[in-house]
Amino acid sequence: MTPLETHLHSHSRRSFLGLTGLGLGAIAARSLMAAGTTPASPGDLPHFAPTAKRVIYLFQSGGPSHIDLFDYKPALEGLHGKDMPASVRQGQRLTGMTAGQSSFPVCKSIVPFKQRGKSGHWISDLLPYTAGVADDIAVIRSMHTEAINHDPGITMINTGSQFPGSASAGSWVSYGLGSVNQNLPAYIVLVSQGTGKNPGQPIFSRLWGSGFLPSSHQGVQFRSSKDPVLYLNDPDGITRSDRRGMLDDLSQLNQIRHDKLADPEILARISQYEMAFRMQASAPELADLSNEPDWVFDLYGPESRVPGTYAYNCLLARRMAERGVRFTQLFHRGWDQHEKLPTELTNQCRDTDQASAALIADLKQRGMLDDTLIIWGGEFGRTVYSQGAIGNGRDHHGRCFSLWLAGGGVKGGVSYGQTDDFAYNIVDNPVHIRDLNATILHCLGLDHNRFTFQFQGLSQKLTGVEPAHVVNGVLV
Amino acid sequence: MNQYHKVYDAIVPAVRHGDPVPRLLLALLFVAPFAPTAHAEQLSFNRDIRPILSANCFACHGPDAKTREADLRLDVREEAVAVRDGVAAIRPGAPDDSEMIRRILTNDPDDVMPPPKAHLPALSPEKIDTLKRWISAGAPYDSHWSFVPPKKAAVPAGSHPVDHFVNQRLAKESLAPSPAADSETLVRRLYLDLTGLPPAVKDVDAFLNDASPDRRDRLIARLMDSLQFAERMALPWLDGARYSDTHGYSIDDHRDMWAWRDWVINAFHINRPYDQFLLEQIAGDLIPDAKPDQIAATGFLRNSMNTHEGGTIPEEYRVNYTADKVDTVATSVLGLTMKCAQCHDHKYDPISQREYFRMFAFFNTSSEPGSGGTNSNTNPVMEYASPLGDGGVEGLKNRIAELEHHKLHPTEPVIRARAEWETKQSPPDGPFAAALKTPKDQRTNEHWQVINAEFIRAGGPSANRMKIAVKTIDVEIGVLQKDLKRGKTTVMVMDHKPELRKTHILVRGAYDQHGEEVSAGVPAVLPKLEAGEKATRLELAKWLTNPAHPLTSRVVVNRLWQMVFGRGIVESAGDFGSQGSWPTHPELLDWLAVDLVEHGWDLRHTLRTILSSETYSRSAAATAGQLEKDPRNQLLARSPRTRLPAEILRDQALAIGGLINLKVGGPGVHPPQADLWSEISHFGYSNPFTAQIFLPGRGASNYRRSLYTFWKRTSPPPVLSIFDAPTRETCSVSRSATNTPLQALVVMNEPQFAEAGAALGKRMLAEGGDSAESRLTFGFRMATGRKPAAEELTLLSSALERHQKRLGNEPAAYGMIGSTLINLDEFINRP
Repeated sequence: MTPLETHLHSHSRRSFLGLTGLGLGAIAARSLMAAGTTPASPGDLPHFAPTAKRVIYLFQSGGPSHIDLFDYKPALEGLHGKDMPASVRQGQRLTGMTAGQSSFPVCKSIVPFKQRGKSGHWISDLLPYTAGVADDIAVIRSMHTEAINHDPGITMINTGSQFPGSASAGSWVSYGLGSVNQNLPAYIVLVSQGTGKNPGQPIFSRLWGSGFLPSSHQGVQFRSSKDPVLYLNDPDGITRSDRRGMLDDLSQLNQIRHDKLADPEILARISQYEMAFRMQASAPELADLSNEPDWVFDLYGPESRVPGTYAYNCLLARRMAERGVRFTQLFHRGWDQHEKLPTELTNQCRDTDQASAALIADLKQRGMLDDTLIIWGGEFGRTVYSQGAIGNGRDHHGRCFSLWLAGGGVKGGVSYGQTDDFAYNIVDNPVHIRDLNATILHCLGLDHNRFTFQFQGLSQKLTGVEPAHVVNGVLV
Repeated sequence: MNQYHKVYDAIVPAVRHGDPVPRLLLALLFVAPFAPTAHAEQLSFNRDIRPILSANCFACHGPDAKTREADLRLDVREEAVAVRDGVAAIRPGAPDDSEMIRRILTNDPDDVMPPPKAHLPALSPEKIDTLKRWISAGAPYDSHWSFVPPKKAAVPAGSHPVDHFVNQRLAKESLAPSPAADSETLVRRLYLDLTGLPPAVKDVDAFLNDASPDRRDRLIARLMDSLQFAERMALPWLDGARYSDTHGYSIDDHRDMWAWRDWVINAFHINRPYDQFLLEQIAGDLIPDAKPDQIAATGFLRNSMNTHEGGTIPEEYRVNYTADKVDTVATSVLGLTMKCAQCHDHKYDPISQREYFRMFAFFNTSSEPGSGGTNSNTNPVMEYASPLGDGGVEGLKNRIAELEHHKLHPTEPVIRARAEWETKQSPPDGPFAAALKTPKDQRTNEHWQVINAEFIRAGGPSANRMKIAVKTIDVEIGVLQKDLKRGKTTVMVMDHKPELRKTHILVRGAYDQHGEEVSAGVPAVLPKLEAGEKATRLELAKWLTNPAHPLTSRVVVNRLWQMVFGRGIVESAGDFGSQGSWPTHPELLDWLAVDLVEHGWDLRHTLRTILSSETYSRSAAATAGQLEKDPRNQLLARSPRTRLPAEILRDQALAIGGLINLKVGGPGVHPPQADLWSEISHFGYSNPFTAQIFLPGRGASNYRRSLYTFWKRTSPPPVLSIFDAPTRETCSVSRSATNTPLQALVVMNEPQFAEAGAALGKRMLAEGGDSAESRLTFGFRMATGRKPAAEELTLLSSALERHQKRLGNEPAAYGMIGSTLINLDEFINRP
């Protein structure tokens, strides 16, 4: 807890108790009886000792090209411009955008790769800062998904199902573990638009929605505006002391009603209003970067001073981690390089590379990397063959893609899984999205098989109905 | 202690956001006090046994043949008791000789049931005891309760049927019902439940001064005649029908289905019998000599999401849309989770994958394409005028006027950039200089056009945004003008073209994996469909609305019950199957279901029955005994204080502020909100799409009832989502009622709620008499329906004095009181 939070916490606790004349325990016990609409309990969680307290998910929306970033294929040098053999494609379905192409010319990485750090991770020149933290990240090169288009793809990786209606990973974690900080949401979402492809493919509130879980677990969007959380600010002309006074009146009036009706939900309402009052202080404090020293902005890069950018959001994510936000998720758009691959991909990398690496370094020096799980990745990869003329662009590719993990419980410097010479098919250790989700839950001390919610007659799971496996190869 | 233990310790005391319940106490929360207690009375297979078998055994020993282990199924008695190699899973009369019990009790991890790989908790001793007693009693099976046609149990002469069954259960549990609520509470409850709007003070007084014994009945009749009743009834139906103003997938641009929404409101207004209401929505196009009104009704099925994303494989999505129709009819009409059988046989209910695709076949004859619909509806569409009011003409004109304004002033960031740019301009004399010289509030449209032209000519990112926004707005205006010229809008409807394709079982549900060909048909466990193999959607609709159907009537009366009491008699309103909740009052559910059919599927009749009961009119005050024995109020010894649904809460605030605009029907409206749309959408793309930037309404359209708010599926109206409105992407038949700090922020600060509070303050001054006391009383009555108690009035008076002193003006001080009143828990909950 920051000193300010400690202060606010003790203050509001005091005024809260003073107003209602009831101990917190009594309120909790009563609201407990009233939680009539919650259909099932997550049970006794976590299931086992976690290796991460919190998650920062750096979601790169659009499908970053694994071929040009993480999956080094020297064999492509000699194949550049030649048609991809049919034996590689194996008749797999393609999207409507390239299915009609008369040829599928192989396109090697647009930039050179080098081995980085002690671990010797192969990382391309587009990601010089990420290369600098190579030994802290575990790269999975054998991710795969069934989806071949954006809508089902981003819905799949964020909710475990291609179809709308399921709960997002963040809302599952909110449901299971709740918030450490009572004055901030358990699951916060930050959105940014890249300079590569602008506008990037659309994203949807279902990606951070609660699906079939109670809607109190949906991600709360933090925005770079006057109201970082919607409706946070009091109307013009209302001071904090006016609001405090109004809340005191409200609590007393509600308490009178409670004395008459004995409905514990009334006490819960009083406490939610108090929480809102505290959030009115804690959210602006969180979003206020004025006390961050210059060296921190230097670490995250010049854009970290510009509200709404990816770099700015990375810095906010660190501040959220410090304040106990359980699940912070960035959505950065623009990774959909069907054309203008060299310029667009370079721009996307410039948006994100320095700040992503800075987040690792910053958490590390604060001693927080060990219990913060960081995930960097998109919904699928891209084709080794060109969409249109050679070097123009790449189509969507779900058969394999790369993604990295770092921090709480992750073995840095490891690379996991292998694809063929065309970075087209997986040849070793495939990792499905449900395996990734099982691994994220595992780091948080949750057994994906036992972490369920009853809906429509089924024990729903983030990992779905197919068997999922924790990727132990990337864990310490 | 290693570092991981430290982490663990830090996590344990956490509190879930929006749910102030310490984790350690959570276990207590879910002790359902009225879970079947099988001790004191005769066991019932459906109530006591099936839930245990279903939850623990059916996944491997149930209806799904493909995953069945040891070739043993426990959902069918003959198979469960069959002796194989001298062993029987269940040996009637001999629990100790029954393999099932032995396997539950064993410590051998290889043998124990359920097996460790099922990740199920071990069976409790109580459940094992229940199973043993059932086997001792001969292990009798019963058909699943909801598949057996309902029967009316006898109700003693002179008893109200609702009260008879509810009170019977209360007596059995030794729970004393609360006394009747006072008249002030009752009248407010009736208004909110039936119209979603609060009574005015004079409405309350009229009811209080009415001494006639039938005043409640007359009020109910009057409210049911109002269009506001029809709007309120439409709300839950629109959730189940996943009604929306956008396509939902990918770009999520607009669609025109509002005339269908108006069809629903009109159907409730003219009290179309539920069988007819359903028949037309499912098969109106197939009724001989179908009228436009009947064809338009099939928009119900066309509310499925739709895509035109670039790389889409159309057949994959066409299959998705068809599956969504099956899911919607199954969930909202039949209360069955048929979706589970799309990829494999249902694990719990007797619905095979083959039967799923026979249902699928009914909906698989449409010419609806898998991809398409950019900025418009996809075929088949029909021109149709809304049956309400002026058919939407005024709404169309009004939106065009709003958009014309936005064309001159597109989006806040652009307006800000233009204002900043303006200060740096010093043009030579001419039209531009003249426009700049004119004060902003006096500029004409022509002035702005000149300024915008210069702004765009100057170039830069904001100029580019303006250019694209104008292009987008032009597309939106074009769409509306087309409707206006034609005098009709369009609505997506169903057609029937069986020649287009055959239906196959899709292996594992995959669109391109064709298995056996199937004809249209219904699950064997349900009544037979007379038309046989030639059946179309029309026969399906007739089958669903057959008076003898065991599910249709039960499901709809349960949804009415849920609408009134916040929870259905069957809590899982969308699942009447094996895994669904056991009804709290099974005989009452059946009585109401039969009674509905006997009264010509008249939903108002059922509602009147519920609303005329003592159960309905009870006080909400809880006694200690009630709280202890029935904390969740499942048995209704007291009236439930459900949190009001999002739309009703917002409408209520607008109403008591005197702000609400009760115009009915027409295209969706855009009450102000932050422009969340452009943060996630395709706004800025070179080809413009509709519904990508949020362009707020202006004037009276902003105060329409909330069910008319334009619904964008990928970014639903935040005020409504924060209060648990579903996304309308898929069928949803119950909402949660959470209690969160974000909700407090909405009611305190959201501009329209704040405006409503301030407006209530002004009304207190204008209409509340001359003294502070009478004004406060008036405001309190507006917000709660009742007069304040002395201590409440004292509290409000001293608050008012404080505000007067601090703010120094009467409207502002009363505005603070108005805001306080609409934040009362009593305002937010059903009385």
